Amino acid sequence: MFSYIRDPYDPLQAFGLFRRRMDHLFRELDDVVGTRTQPREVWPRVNLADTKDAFILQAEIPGLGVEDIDLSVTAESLTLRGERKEKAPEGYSVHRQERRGLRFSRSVALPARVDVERVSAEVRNGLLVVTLPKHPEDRPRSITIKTN
Amino acid sequence: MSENSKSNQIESIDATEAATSAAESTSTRPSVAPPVDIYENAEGYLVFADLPGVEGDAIDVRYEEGELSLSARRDLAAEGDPVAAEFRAVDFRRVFKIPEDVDAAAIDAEFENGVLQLRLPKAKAIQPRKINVRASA
Repeated sequence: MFSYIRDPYDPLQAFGLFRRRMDHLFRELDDVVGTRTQPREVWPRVNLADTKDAFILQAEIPGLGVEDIDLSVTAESLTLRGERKEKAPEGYSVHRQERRGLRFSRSVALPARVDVERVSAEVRNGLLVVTLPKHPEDRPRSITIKTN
Repeated sequence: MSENSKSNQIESIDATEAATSAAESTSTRPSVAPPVDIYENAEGYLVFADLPGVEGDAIDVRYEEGELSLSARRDLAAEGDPVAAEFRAVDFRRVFKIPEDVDAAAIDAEFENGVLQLRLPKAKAIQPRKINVRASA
């Protein structure tokens, strides 16, 4: 977070203060009315692990099957796209709706190059698991250190 | 809002409080409340809960004295060194007070793509009954 230094001789300071107050007001407003249309959290949430030979990405995609997910991979990034539709059953009244429908697109930069041809993915119990084998040149090699 | 509709609200009972009962006190796994949708019609309630990464046999659903409790354990395969982690192994837990009597024996649960779907039929006594009027021939 930035800290603001107060300068009593700066006539523009009042504008800065005004802007911050307005930003704050909009954030509050967003909390009240904007939660359905503007997800403030990232979606889906992802985990990335490094197994030396590959990267393993996991993403939480409850309610989505293989056909609802569009996964694309380049040597250095991975992009997930899709849509989760809100499926309110017909003839029912709503008590609460916390599982929002949304469109998502999320890119993850990979820390090293991967072998795009050998990437594999599966969906199980609402969890997407992508295995991204590293590019041969980017795999760690252990070097034997010679002693005299 | 009228008093009548208020008494029909489904109350969510603080899951973190419920989860820190004696049975869970030694656990270091965090307890989180999964997002839930609840619908109602004359015949019953429909509940959906997002439980990504949970195995079907790690879900526990209970209905007792007007309280519906869901708990599920999520274990994640811990392969390799974490580079970035936005979620982790947790215990999902959520408890609701259901205002009307539910036929506990007829509760039906289904788990697909990480979403739990529960059907809770209302007890027959409170379901609206359609009475057939016989015409005397």
